[in-house]
Amino acid sequence: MTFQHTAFAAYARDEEAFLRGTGRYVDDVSLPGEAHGVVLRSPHAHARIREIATERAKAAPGVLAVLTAADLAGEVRPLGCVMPLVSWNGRPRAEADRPVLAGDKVRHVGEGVAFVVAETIAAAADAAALIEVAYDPLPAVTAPDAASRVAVWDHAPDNLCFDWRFGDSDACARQFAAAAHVARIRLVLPRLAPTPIEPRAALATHDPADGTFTLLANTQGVHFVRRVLAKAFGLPPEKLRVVTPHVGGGFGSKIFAYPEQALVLAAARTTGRPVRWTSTRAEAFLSDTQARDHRTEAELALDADGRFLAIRVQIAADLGSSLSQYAPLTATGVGAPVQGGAYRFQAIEIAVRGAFTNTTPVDAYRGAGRPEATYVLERLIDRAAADLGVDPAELRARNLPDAQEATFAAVTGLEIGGGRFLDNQRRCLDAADRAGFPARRAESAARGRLRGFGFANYLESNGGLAVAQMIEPDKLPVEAARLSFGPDGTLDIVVGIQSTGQDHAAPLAHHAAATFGLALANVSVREGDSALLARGGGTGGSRSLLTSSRSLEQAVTDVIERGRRALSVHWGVPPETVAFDAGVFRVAGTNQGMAVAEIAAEMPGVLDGESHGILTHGSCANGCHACEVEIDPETGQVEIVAYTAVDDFGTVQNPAAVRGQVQGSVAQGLGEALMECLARDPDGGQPLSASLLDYALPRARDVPSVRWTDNGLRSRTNVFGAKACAEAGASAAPPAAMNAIADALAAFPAARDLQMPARPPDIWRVIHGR
Amino acid sequence: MSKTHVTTTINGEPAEFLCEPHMTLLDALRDELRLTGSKEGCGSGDCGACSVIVDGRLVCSCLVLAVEAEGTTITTIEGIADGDELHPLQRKFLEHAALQCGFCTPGLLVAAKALLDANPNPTETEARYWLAGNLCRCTGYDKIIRAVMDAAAEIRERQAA
Repeated sequence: MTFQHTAFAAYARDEEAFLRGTGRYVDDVSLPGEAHGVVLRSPHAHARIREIATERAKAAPGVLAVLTAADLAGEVRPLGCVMPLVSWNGRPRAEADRPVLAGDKVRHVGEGVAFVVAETIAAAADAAALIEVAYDPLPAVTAPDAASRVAVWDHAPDNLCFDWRFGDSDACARQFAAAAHVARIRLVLPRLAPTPIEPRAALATHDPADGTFTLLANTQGVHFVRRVLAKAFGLPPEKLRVVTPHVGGGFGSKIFAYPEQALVLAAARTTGRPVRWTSTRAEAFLSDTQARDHRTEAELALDADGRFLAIRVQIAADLGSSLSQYAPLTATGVGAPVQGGAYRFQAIEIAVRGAFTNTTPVDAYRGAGRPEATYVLERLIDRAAADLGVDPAELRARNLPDAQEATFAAVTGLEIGGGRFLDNQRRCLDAADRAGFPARRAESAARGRLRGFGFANYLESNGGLAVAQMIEPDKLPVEAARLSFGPDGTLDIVVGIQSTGQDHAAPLAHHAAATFGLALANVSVREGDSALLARGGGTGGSRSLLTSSRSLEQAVTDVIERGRRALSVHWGVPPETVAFDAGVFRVAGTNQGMAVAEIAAEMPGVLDGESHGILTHGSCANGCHACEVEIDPETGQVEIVAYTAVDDFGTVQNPAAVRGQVQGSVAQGLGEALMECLARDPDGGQPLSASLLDYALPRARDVPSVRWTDNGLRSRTNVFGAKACAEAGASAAPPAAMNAIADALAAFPAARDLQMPARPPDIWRVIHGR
Repeated sequence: MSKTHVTTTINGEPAEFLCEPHMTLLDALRDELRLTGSKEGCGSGDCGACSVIVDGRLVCSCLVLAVEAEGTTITTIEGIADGDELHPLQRKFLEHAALQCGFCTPGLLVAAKALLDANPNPTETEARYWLAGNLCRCTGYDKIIRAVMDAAAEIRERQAA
């Protein structure tokens, strides 16, 4: 049975294996008789397909199958976007599910046109070169542009997917009318490529005897990918098993189901062989979901005392050529709740126009809307401070609540369960020695360098509630945990979250070991097998500890209940007299007792089962990050000379892991601010930075050591008291860095329009006026 | 197409394999010898995930043809530890939590070993520039650099003792 391959199994994080080179990632697993698939991709951003001639490819040596959209018709539908969205005028968003292979048209460079399966990758690639596709190239639209005459989808006039509004337009208008000052800013958030170092890969088998499929793929959660693919194939989900071994980073991009996963499944059925596909890096830049790409205009209304009255934000969001599964939400409902941060406002208004373009689909990436919102807010506040000649720290202090435990509502309606807020800012500016900055600036000036100091506050909102409320029938995030006890004192926990590098399982193992009185070394936490859990929420939006702690809590309750019932029968006592403490069930007032391992030995399986925990409240991490830069005016080169972070992540469970998340998310945020951009030829839509030589990622010489202070205020929403930590730096670092650069370049008027990424030539032009 | 027979020494053991002329050393290691610790992150020498040491020189094995390995001595990630005993770099990576997803980790360890072989007492700046050929998307590098500096100090102390 294909379901039984030993290569397909749930995995535990194994750091020693990673260090020895014996980790098992998808591409490290091979099956006997496997065949290799290669995707023939469109060289055009936009073209009509007249004909695809595959005869020569099919006759080429070693070729097992050549699939086109025509071959897949009736077998697999496009991958469904799961996020409904309604425009301001009541119309549902335009449909544009992601095609598995292009049919009548290609809509972005790199869209799949055919899938060739052969005995070797080389044979498949050679055969793909023999496919003749007759294209009629069409003009391409490569940025949201209402004036464009190019129609990406005929049913979406003006290439508009949705025009979504949030907030109170009338209240906002009244506040702006009464304002003493209005600050305005135009900002570009460039197109990013998430770029985990492990490329996507997939290996599929099909069993004709029972019609079941197995897919080995690098995902951020097997159940979501299974759900999307099963729906596309019209299969009951239980006919498709998805297994995820070790994963080499995801950052959002591996949440989603992809065309190539559907292709290996279809090809496994067609050929009767295991079929694998591994992305090249060039393909990753064309087919992995991309991110950000907002053009935003924002206004801040202030009264005469510098108090914030209202904020108005208009976003043109580039969604790419079709909708990846979360795309409409990423551009709207994730960022909007934190658009006002924790600041006091009277009113807010947000308008998001989501547009189709002839580019790769865009979706969630580290923060998924919250970094965009935070960037706009914190750059706008600095702009207001500059307009008014007020210290940006003082302006924020007038509008930001001080540390408080009480829950309160943000202007967006987001419930914030307490936090450190202004206290973070004070501590951060102290830790960064802002008071000593003028002397450091003078010292830099003496060496001919421009020095700048910038900072940003951020508010997070995590738990996956915004996502769940749109896609889950029960409207709240659900996570699963299956606990199985062994007679030798072992406990096997299977959870539906998925590490792509996070050490999120460690607190679960600690908690379970302490609760059941077991040795920590005897408790394993495994992930990544849809056959072992009925459901699972996966990892994304920094929610894994929040959701999995709820599922573990529920599992503990269920295990105790099962134990009491079983022992009441076993001992012949009423269940209410059986108590549980520190791993031992006892009958009150007697010396009768049994430890969980004894129960597992005498009554195997009686304690075991799958439990589902519901997350009713998320968490709102908050903090302040400060960045200090020095710029060489001769070259425009920016050096980050210091970076300071003060974060309220609640009670920190695993300081080393949290510090790693802070440093890593700050590095990604600094990459966004200073170097990362997926550039395109504006006319033809050809990607210009689709390799790691051209798409700059931060390297060891580029990223400073973050000075981190844990300023946590315990969260009341989960057993660990934790708040989400993994995306804070992605929100805070871009505005902190850009505010610092703006400060360094304050003498140059052109700095007002400097956008991310602020690369050396961009900065040089600001300084030299060319 | 006829295959070429290649004889080499990998991690101290004689090794031989057959390869086609276009096969990279990385593919030979992974597919012919099942040494899957070296990873392909880009195939163009930009990410360093496939780093190995060939005759004392740090190279991207995706940019070396397998036939070029004839007669060479190669160290891969699988040869860094001494049996059950981890190399000081591996131990320090564990202690400093210098790995997250683990995919770039083999290449970084091999590159760091090559650094310490060439320069047992690097400055932090030297370490950062030496390791700038290895991309890591998870950690932001800080703990990697600390682990490498700490391992270098330990190795120096051990050799001085």
